[in-house]
Parts: sequence; C-alpha cells; structure tokens
Amino acid sequence: MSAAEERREPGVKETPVVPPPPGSIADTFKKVLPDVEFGASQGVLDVVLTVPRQDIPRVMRAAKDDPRLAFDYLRCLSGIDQMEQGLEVVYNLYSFKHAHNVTIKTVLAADDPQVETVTTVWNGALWHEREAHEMFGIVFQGHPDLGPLLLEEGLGYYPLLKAHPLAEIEESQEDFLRAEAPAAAAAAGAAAPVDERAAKIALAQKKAEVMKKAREEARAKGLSPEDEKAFVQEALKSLEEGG
Amino acid sequence: MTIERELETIDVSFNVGPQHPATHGVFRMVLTVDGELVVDLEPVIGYLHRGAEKLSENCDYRQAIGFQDRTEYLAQFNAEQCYVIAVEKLMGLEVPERAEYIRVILTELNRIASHLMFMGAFSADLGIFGTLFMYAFREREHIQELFEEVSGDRMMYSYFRVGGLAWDVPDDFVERTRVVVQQTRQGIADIDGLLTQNEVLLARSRGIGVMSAEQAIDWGFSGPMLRASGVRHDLRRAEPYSIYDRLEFDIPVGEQGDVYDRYLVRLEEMRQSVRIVEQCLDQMPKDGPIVTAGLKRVLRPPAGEVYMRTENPRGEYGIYLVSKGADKPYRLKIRAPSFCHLSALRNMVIGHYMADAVIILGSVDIVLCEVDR
Amino acid sequence: MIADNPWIDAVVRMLLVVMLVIGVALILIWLERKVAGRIQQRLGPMVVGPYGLLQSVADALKLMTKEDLRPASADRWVFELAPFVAFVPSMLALVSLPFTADLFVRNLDLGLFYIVSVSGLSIVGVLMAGWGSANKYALLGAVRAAAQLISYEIPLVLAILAVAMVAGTLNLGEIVAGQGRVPYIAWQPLGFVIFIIATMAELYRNPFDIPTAESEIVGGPFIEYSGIRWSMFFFAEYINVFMLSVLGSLVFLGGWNWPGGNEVGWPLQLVLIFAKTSALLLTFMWLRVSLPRLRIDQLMSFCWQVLLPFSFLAIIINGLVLVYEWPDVLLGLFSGVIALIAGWVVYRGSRRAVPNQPWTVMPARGIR
Repeated sequence: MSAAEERREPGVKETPVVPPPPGSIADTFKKVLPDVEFGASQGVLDVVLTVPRQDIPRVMRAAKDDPRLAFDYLRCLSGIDQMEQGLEVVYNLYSFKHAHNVTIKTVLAADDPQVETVTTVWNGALWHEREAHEMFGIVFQGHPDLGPLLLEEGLGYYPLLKAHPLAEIEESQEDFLRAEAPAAAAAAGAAAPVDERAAKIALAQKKAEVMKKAREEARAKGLSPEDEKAFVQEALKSLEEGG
Repeated sequence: MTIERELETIDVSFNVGPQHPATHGVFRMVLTVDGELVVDLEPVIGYLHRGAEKLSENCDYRQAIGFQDRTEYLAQFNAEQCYVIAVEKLMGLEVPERAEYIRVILTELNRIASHLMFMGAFSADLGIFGTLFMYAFREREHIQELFEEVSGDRMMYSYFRVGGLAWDVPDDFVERTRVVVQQTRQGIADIDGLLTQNEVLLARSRGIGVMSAEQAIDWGFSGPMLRASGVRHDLRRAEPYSIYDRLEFDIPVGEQGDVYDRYLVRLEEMRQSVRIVEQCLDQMPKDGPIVTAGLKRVLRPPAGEVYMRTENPRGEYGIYLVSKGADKPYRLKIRAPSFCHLSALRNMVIGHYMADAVIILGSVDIVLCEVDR
Repeated sequence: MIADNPWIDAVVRMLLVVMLVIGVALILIWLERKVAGRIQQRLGPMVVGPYGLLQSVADALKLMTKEDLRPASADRWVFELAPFVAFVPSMLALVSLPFTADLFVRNLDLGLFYIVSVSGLSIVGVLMAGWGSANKYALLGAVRAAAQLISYEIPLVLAILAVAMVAGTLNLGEIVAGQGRVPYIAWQPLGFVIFIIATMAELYRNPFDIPTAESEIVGGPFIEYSGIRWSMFFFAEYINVFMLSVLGSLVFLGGWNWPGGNEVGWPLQLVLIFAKTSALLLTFMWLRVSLPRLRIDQLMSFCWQVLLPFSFLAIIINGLVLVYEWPDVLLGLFSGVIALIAGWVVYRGSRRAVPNQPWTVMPARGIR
C-alpha cells in the first residue's frame, strides 16, 4: 500500500463537496425518506448522495417504487477502493419516467465489506455485483450466485484493491526513472539484483549530467567544436575512472 | 390429443465455444438441450479479461486512451469520445468547434462501420454463406480507408485527445468523406434489398428472443436492444453531449423487441448516421484550432468524480472516472453495454430452439473485449 | 458391347464412368468456389494454376497426405465404415444413368426406381458418421440429417413419380425419348419445382444445410473426420449434386433429345446434356450463396405441410387426366395452376410476418 502511495503525485486531493442546488433530486429523496441520513453533493454531472450501509435496501427499494423517484434503470454499479476510508459502492440510477439521474454511494469498512444486494430491485445488478465482489471482495448479502465472473476460480486475492500491486513489467516508465528505490536499497546495504536496471539508469543519468556540465564549461571557455568534444570525452573518462 | 411419453430422455448439455464460429469471440455458452429445445443456458465469460481497469490506473490520462480503443474494438471512436469527454468534464474544458465536428463525423462513421460488422456477422449466423458478410465488409473497407488517412491506423486509432484531436485532418477530408458517405448509402441499400424482406430471415427471427420494455429496462439494456423493445431512449437526445443538440436526426424504435426488430433498428440507425455526417460536413468550420489552448502535456484534472455516458453502437457506454488530482486516474470503471446485455442472455434464450440461441446471441451484437475488459 | 463380352463391357464402362465422375467432381468443386466467390464480390481461388484451376488437385493431394485421425472413444468400425457407406451409393446410382443415347453403363428398365432407391442408402452413412464420432455435435447433426433426408425423399420421389406416370415408363432412355417435342417441364412444372427444392434438401445445400450448419454445429456429422475419409464425404456430396442435376435434366428438361430430336449425333447430344446439367448446377450454387438457413422444425413443417400435399395433388391430377384420357395439355395446365397456387400460399404465409409499418420513428428535432 505504501508503494502505491509513493507512486502517486504528492499533494493528492480529495473531492470537494459542493452542496447541490435547491429543488434537486436530493430534496425529493429527503422528502420520500425523511429518516435516512443523506450526504448530498453536486457532482460534475449528477447529484451524489451518500447513504449509510444499513439503509441501502430501503433507499433502493424506495428509489424504484416511489412514483416521485421512479428509478427503474440501474446504469452502473462500481466499487472503489478508498484505502483508509474503506470500500465504496457506487450506484448510478436513471429514471425513464422523469428523465432524471442520481448517483448513490455507500461506504463500507475495509475489514467488513458487506452490503445488501440490489438484485431483488433490479435484475441488471446481477453481474455488476458479481464483478465487484471478485475484484474488491465486497460481499453482497442475498446475491443468488456470487462466484467469479471474469477471473478464475480460487484466485485468493482481489485484484482491483490498491493493496494489490501491478506486476513489475506493468509499472510505467516514470516510476523507474525516479530512481528512488535503488538509492534507498543501497543505503540500506541490500545488494538486490533487481536493482541492476535501476542502477544502470542511474549511471546513465550521472553520465548525462557530467556531459552537460562539461559542455557548458567548454562553451563558457569558447572552445571550438572538436576541442569541445575532446573536453567532454575527458570528463567522461575521469568519471569512469573515478566512479 | 396428447401422447404420453414413456421414453426416458436425458437432457444433453454441451459447450458452444469458446472456440466456435458463432460466438463472436471467446465466449462460452453451456447449453442444456432437450432434443432441440434449450432448457438452460449458462454464459461463461472472462476469457478475454486483461485487467484494463487496473492498467488504466497506472497510465496517465493520455495513455489510457489506447485502452479505450482496445476495449471496444469495433466502435473505437465512440469509446475514445466517451473517455475524453469524461476527462474534459472533470477539468471543465471547452473543446473548439472544429474538433467537435470532426469528432462527431468520425464517431458516426464508426457507428456505421460497427453496424456493418453486425450485419455481416448476423448474416453469417443465419447461414448466408458469407455473401452479405462480403458486401458489408466492402463498405467497411471504404470507411476504414478514410480512418487510416486521418489517424494512420486501420483499427486502434488513438486519435482523440483530451481537449480535441491529436492532429488536424488531411486537407481533402471533407471531399473524401462525402465520397465515402455516398458509397455507404449504396451499401446500406444493398443490404436492405438482400435481407429486410427475406422470407427466411423473417421466419428465423420474428418472435425470437423477445424482451418486453419493462424487462429490458430492468436488465439494464440500452442502445438498439432497448429501442427495439419499444423504449424511446437515445442518449444523444436524452442527455446530449458534444454538439448533438444542433443536429437533426430520427431515432428508430421497434415494437416487439425480437431479433428482427433489432436488425431493423440498426439498419435505420445507419441511415440516420449518414444524415448526421452530412449535416456535420455542411456545418463544420473550415479552419480553427483543434485542441483547447493552454493544455499542459501531463494532465492533472482536479479531484472529482464523473460518470460520463455516450451512445455507443451497442448501447450506453459509461466511464466512471475518479480523480484525486494526480496525473493518473484513481479509478476508471468502464460500463460496457454488452456486459449488461449478456447477463440477460439466459432469459432471452430459454424456451427457444438451439438454432435460435445462435441467432439471439448474434442479435445482441456483443464485443467480447468490452464484456471482459 | 465392347469386346463382345458382357463382363468386360460392363467393367470398362464402369471404369469410364468412375473416371468421368471423379474428374467432374474436381471441376465442380473448383466451379463452386469460383461462383460463390464472384457472387460474394471476391475472386475465389486464383493462385494455384491459371485461374486457380489446379486448386482441386492441390486440395485432393493435401487431403490424401493428411494424418488419419480417429477419436479414441469412437466406435471403430462404425466410424471407419461410414465414409464408404455414404460414398458407394452415389457411385451405384451412376450405373443406370445415361448421359447420351449410347453413353451409359446399363440402361435398366427400372432405372428411375433404382437410382432413387440406391441414393437413399447414403443416409445410413451419415447416421453412422454421427453416431460413431462420439461427439455431441456430430450426434446432433446426424439426427438432424436423418430427419431431413428421410422427410425430403418423399416429395422427391413423388415428383419423379409424377413424371413417370406421364411418360408411362421407368426406363430413363425411354423417358428422354418421349420428350422429342415438349420437355416434361411443360407437362409438370409443379413437379419440377418440387424436384428442385427436394434436391437441395437431399444434398444438404443452403437453405437446407442444417445438418452441417457451419455456424452452429461446425460441420455436423463430419466434424471428426479428416483427410481421405472427409474427402470421401465431400466427393459423395458433389457426385450426388452432379447425379441429381443430370437426372433433373434427363427427366424434366428433355435430356439430349430436346430440341434436336433423337437423331442428332452424340457430340451434340453431349453438348445439350452438358448445357442443361450446368444450368441446374449453377442454379444450385447460386441459391446456396444467397439464401440464409432455415431451422430444422421450419424445414420439417415446410416438407410435410407444403411439399407433400402438393406433390400428392400432382399425382392425383395426373392419375385423373391419364385414366380418363383427357387431352394431354390439361396435365401442364393443372400442374402450372397448382404450382402458382402453391407459390402464392407460401408467399402469403411468409409475408404475414412483415409489419406494415416496420417501426415508429421519433421525429427529427433539434435546431440551433
């Protein structure tokens, strides 16, 4: 998990919470279910409502059945790994009758990711929940068949969690060129062979730096091009002999 | 008069796929048949799962465009457009006019190409020994040649960028597109003449694989599958994006929700796409910028989430994008229309004959890469 | 009579016919691929030999050198004998098939009856192939094939029987001789139509190729065969096509007799037979590439509910006209009228499904 964090840029921000405009679908929800705690915000395209986990079955059933809401279409069901804050399940709903959208979220604790299934409300959630389960480990209680859909049986881990790393070859260039890991390993005294590649890149970078400095010096001295080349070669040779 | 059967019969269960000419990709159906009647069907997917969502979390926003191509490999521009608009909405960018028009032209041509592929594969399932397949692909070649001139690639274009396009179109783009549109019109007429009134097609597809409107909505259908069931819903009209609110086009809606209606809806959609392309060619500004000014090379959208949906040839293609301010997406969930349609395959097929199972699967027009991602 | 010895005569003639037919099968395979290609806007074989003419030879050589595979759980004798049981009857039927007035092996008095009954034996071969392959796809294909072939034998036989009633004989030579002025297609147009449809079903060609449906059960009963065994099935199919086309042109189109009459020399007779057979062959190939495939229950209902009643009707009408000695022209008249009625019935039945207004369209909207 720390490696994943290191990969991300410093200064990671969280989504700002902008309250939705009055008269939006959030108000209709609050009217239909006054005793449920909704956390409402205006997303980029839809209104986003955050619902506590235990209220999800009631909210979804009301969303479909209540004529003021009439959300008969489950567009998408995604899981998001929010790391310390837990796992999020996001439901995107649409109503054909009223032509309005809403996004409903619920946050599950990372060590107990259970939520009630919505396949009893919309049939279309069948495969979405199955996929969310095999990718994140979210358990949908009451789902008829929560076996693996895209992955093989008995995998033993949940791939889309941030804790599960990508394989080495899939890490992108930027991370390797940062060359932090080999420096840290050398400081710790570990002679890991996996750092060979990073060590080579570090060496190439050092050479490039030396060449650049040597060229600048040569230009400052006003040498002709052949002399400049010879100067740079000398600098490189001294680097190799010295390092 | 009913005859009591005293024979003990066993239901035979066998595999259709994963290697099979009719499954449109690496897809496996475990059919349990009683004679010729399908008693049970279990779809098995995941043969083409490559972890596109996890990989996209480790690419920056520009590299992830390539994954969209490979996820929806028949309507690449549609998938790219959805993703690129999602990032633009997150960043609050305004795309220049010329880029928008070119995007819509290419997207609609890609819709035509995808539906042509459907015509070909559908007729191959029906048993026309490749004739219609060849006609459809002849038209598709014209469109793909145009795409190659524009983007340099016949299939995986990676031409759209956040904020516009990668580079400008060639100088003769408008004339070439008009020629292609003309040829496409002729091709659509050919296909119409061969298939629409064909008695065998009618016998094979009328009343097969029926999904009522309520069932379709419940199972999450979208696109031509939903419209064939009688629901008047097209994302280009209901939630307009890009410049679709300036264009005039009809939306074909079926009545019964069977295989024949789905074929008719897709045929008419091709004609409407031709209409859209012609309007865009007329309205397009002659020159102008093609990328939003002032974009950095490495994009860092502000923290936020967006669920952007566009009308793909297969249905509603959705991208749920979560950004935490970094140069890579935090979560990129792809909502694939074929995924939702396949989950209802069991309901559509049970009770029909085995030969119909193949036709119904063909009418869903799946793309395995977006089912499996 | 060659060498004045009936045995040598028979053997030499049979060898000639066998060589002719193998050559014809090779040419037919090439022709089918070319015709299918041109209708599909492509060229067909072009690489091997000029215009791909040697393609069939190359394919035959390849198939002969392929490894002979047999599934381990296959029933050995059934599996290995099936190609022979499918191939030999096609050759047997050629014994009594005359190509010109003198070019035949034996002109049997029961020639027509013999051909039809012997060609029905190949169904057993297909069934053996499907059962012996120990493969569910093969079994499914074989069951479908058996149902289809047995069902469509009946209209085929009845159509030919109608012509035999008109001709008054089962001897193929005499049937052709009786068509000096008018070919029997004018007396029995309904019979001709039924013959064409039933022939396509007998040979499992589109739109009746459910047993070997490429896109559903991938080759049907022949799925486990490769190499020479598969080529025997393949040859059997093309020899059957050829044989039934020749039969059709002899029985319905006037053979070598019309329009020239019985006295023309054998080159012209050969040309006439060749032309008429080619016309039928090309029709079969053309229909193969342009029509989609019917489902098995639709096939069956078409046979038993449409073809069979109309072929019975044809026979009854023929019987009435012949027994009561009405003028012969009534034969053609009645038959033609019934053919038109049959066509109209089928046309209306299939049009029933086409909606008047195919779809509702949300009207255009959206202006700047």
